[in-house]
Amino acid sequence: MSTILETENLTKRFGSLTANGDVNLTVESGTTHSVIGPNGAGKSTLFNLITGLLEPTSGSIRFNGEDITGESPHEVARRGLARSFQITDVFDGLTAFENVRVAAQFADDRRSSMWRSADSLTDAGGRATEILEDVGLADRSHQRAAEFAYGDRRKLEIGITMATEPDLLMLDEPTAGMGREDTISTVQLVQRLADERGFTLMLIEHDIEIVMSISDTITVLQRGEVIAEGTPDEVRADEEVQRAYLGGAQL
Amino acid sequence: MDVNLLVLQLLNGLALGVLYLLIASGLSVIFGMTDIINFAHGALYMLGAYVGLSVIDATGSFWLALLLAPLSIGVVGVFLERTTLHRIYDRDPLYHIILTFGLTLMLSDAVEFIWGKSPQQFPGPDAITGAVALGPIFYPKYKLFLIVAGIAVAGGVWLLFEKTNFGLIVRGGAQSRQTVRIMGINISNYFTLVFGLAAVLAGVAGVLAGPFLNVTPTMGDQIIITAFIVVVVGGLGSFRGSVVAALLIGLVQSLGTVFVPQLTGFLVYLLMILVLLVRPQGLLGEYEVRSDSTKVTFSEIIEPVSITDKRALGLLGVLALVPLGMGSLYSPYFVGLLSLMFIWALLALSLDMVMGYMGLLSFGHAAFFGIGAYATGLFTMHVFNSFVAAAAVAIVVAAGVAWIIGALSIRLTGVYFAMITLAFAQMFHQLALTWNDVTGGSDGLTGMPTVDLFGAGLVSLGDTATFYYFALFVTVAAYVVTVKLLDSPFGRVVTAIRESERRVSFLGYDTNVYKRRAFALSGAIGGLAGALLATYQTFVSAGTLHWVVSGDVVIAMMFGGIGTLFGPMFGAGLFIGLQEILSSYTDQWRFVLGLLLVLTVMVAPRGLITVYSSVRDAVRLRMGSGGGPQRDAATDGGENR
Amino acid sequence: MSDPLLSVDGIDAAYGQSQILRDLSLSVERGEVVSLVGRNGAGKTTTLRAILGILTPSAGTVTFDGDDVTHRPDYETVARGIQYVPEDRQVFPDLSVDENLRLGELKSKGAGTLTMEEVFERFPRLRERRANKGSQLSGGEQQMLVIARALVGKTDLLMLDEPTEGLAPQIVEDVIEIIESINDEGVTVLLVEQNVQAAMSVADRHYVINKGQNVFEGTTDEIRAADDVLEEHLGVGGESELSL
Repeated sequence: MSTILETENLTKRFGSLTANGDVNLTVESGTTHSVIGPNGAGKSTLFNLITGLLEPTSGSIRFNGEDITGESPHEVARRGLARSFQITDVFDGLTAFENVRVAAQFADDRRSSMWRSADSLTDAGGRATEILEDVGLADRSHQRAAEFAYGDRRKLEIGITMATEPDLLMLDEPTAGMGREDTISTVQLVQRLADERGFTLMLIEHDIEIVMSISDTITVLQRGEVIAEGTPDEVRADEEVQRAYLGGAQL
Repeated sequence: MDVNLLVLQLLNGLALGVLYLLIASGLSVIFGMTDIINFAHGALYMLGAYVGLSVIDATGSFWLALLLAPLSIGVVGVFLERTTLHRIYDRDPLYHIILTFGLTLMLSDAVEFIWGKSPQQFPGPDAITGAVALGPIFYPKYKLFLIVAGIAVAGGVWLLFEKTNFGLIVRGGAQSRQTVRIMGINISNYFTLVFGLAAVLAGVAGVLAGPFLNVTPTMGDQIIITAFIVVVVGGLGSFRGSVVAALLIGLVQSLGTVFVPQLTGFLVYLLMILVLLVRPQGLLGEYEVRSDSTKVTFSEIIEPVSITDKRALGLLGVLALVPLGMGSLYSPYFVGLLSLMFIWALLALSLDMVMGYMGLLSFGHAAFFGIGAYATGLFTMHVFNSFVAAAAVAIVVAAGVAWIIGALSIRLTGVYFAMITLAFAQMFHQLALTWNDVTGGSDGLTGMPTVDLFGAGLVSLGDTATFYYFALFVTVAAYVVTVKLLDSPFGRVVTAIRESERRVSFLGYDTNVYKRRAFALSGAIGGLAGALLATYQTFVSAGTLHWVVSGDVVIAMMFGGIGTLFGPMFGAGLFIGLQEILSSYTDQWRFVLGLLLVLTVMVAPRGLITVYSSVRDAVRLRMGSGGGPQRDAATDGGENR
Repeated sequence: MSDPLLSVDGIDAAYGQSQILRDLSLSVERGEVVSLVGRNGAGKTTTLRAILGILTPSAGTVTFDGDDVTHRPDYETVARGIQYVPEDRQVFPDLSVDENLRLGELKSKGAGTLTMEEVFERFPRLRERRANKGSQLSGGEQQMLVIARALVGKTDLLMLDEPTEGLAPQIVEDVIEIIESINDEGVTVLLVEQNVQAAMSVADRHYVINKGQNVFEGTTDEIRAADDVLEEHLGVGGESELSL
């Protein structure tokens, strides 16, 4: 197995607050890697650092063996790293098809051509249709995203991220606010797609049961620091993790 | 160097700076709390001067004017906020800006109507006339008073913010509106109070400026731009920043006139550009601009009408027949007016491309219009009398300028972008006014030939019908090209950026590249509109570059329907037509336009093209033939913001 | 016993199209400490926001002190005596400690539960730092400040959203002690916690919610006995063993 993502002493401070402190994390290619931890543990900050939305205070990030520290989001994305957001971020005014096609179009050399119709990029269009089928939105591909219910918007966002054909897909709470059934079906969907399309999956997820059942590796963050990393069984057995989840106070 | 002159100019700079401070601090406080750029602030300042004038006329007392005028402006401010802005806080900031622009037009024309157009003398207080000896120099007592009074008022405002509960709530509200609410405080009342307070300050500035500057209905137009620059340089939402920047800019202006007279009028803009490049958040910018203060979103997407649509073809057919009736059914003047509508339609199209499709709040489109016009005028006069060649130059120059403005401003968020584009356009206006040898200065560019289409006498565009057909052709062609452009892969990315720029950049696109390019394309179309205008008028006025023109295009676009491409073109036609009709009845036609704009924003935010479908849906509903499409329900955001 | 101080009856609430609460009910008697526990995303914070009116419930009623406050704006409900300490604390970063407290006191017009002086006696650390800006405080100090800021207002009911979140163990103990002593003085407390042990140590009664619905209600002893509830809805089992 090869390493796809590696952070070394990654640190982010906001004033006096250390959101991430010396985070060392290794994600192996082809695995499902979850990041868990209580609210405010710095999980989203970690994702934002890796994807270039925030600049680290110190430390480095390597992706596919190359240093990507300090690169801007579009540069990181071009390397094959895609992400979703905690609050669904799709193009509300566009149809589901257009949403995915804009993403799929990036792989085409003619992505910023001005003198042909977007419809003429048949590869991108074809891939968009395929992905909408994959995420189960094919029959509503010409509806505007704004009209979609919450769970479907989530699925659409996953579709958009996948359309860039990433090597690593980072999902920030992909099932937040979903009902139980939606949660399970969404997670299954993502994992199936990761298998089929061969990308590595990294996610922040709150539903511990789901995390335990789908992850190859789990990283536990608390107050910005990694307190444990390992297989689900190892993490389950870790004393520090137990303390973190049961609260620090001796009661 | 003459030390006396230096001292003199330092004092003059302080006097100016104090005026800027009074206006900019109000703008800044309103922005800090509500994210609104209040265009009407300059008009409130001007209104303050006039009300003061009337108080003096009635009572003979400057001091009474200084008390009563600001208070009445405060009342006007509260009234305006409650009747308009207060009802639409949950909308995108774009609408707030446009609404205050409409209010500006209404206020300016109301003042013209009541007090007349001509400059008026504003008597200063009797006790403070003449000059006082400051060492070897004599300095007008009134200006010293102005400096002291202005600083006292600003100090009072500072104390108000720092020492009172009111100030505490306002400062808290600027940091988090929701948290202030959970302290049990109804923050939206404070929006009104802050607006009122800012209006009072503008009123004070108006009265204090009276004896020092000319009192005219346009006195607010320039100062509002300078105040914007002060706010940007100081840092949006920062009172301290406004103080520093206001005094700095006052000093730069007054010292500049002595030491670098050739740069007078430009220094302020250069200072702003410098600050933006080095420290985009402003000298003392503390508050981050909230990201939702930049959004343009639509509750429904209206696709541009295809040129092969039956109704479009029908309209074109009718338009093609128009010149045939010239002389018999109507005068050539009418045909000319239609040509002017086409030119404006082109300009509105250009604006809609960046504002409606990309969500960039450009308030400086006059720059491209004017640059295109001057380029065409100069080229046909001095190089070669050919529209094709001149327009090519105009397009390239306008696109180039747009690209540069874009490159400098695009990394800034929406509201900054609005102010920056406005300021850049004003810089070109200033350039046209001062570069006499080339532009003819305030007289405008005269001596343009009647333009030939190809040159060397081939197809004169001086003929009304020929120009009409040509303008129609260019406008339709530009529309078709723009529709195609926005349907291209490039155009889809552009539209996606409007919906979520962050999402687009996380797909791998460098969004700035797209924004710059779209802005340059928009500039190109604006330049083309300018080329037509110069040809139509065989004259170019510096007024073409004035920010009021930028505002007019925004109005035209809003009237028709932002984000639809064809709507703004209708809106432009309507705008020119209304202007023509209204101005034949009243000099105060801008008041009516302003009112219509305010009503459009409040009632039909997607413009007149949606009124038709709304009415149709309503009629269908009433006739019981099932509901029309559901309008997007308003969210509960209103009270919760 | 008289009517409960707070009673929530069958509320639904949604953010846009995402329904968070479904037919959720709870009640808090005067003088109680009641906890609302559940996993992340269970709807705990939304419940507090719906009680206050930051988010208006789409169905059901919220009654406070005998008055229906379901459709009242948040600032009005706060002025009636419900203070809310949000999860992200919401200290005003550019206001001093003093100013933060003054804002909290503003609407109580002397009816505050504590005076400023009493606050400083109870939180000596805040007195030391009273001239510092909110952003210059540590996490623990910020938590003290927001609790103090709530108490200088009229506080019949104090709603705390995960007050121990992200705090060091020693500080967590302090916070729990503070909650207990506030309660001793007659302030009713509704506490949202993810830290179940902390919740059990201070609260008399508990509501467990999952996916926006009530799933369990009972005293500390009852909840301790209900292993299945703990495991299924909270992801923790038994006394100390983590059964993830």
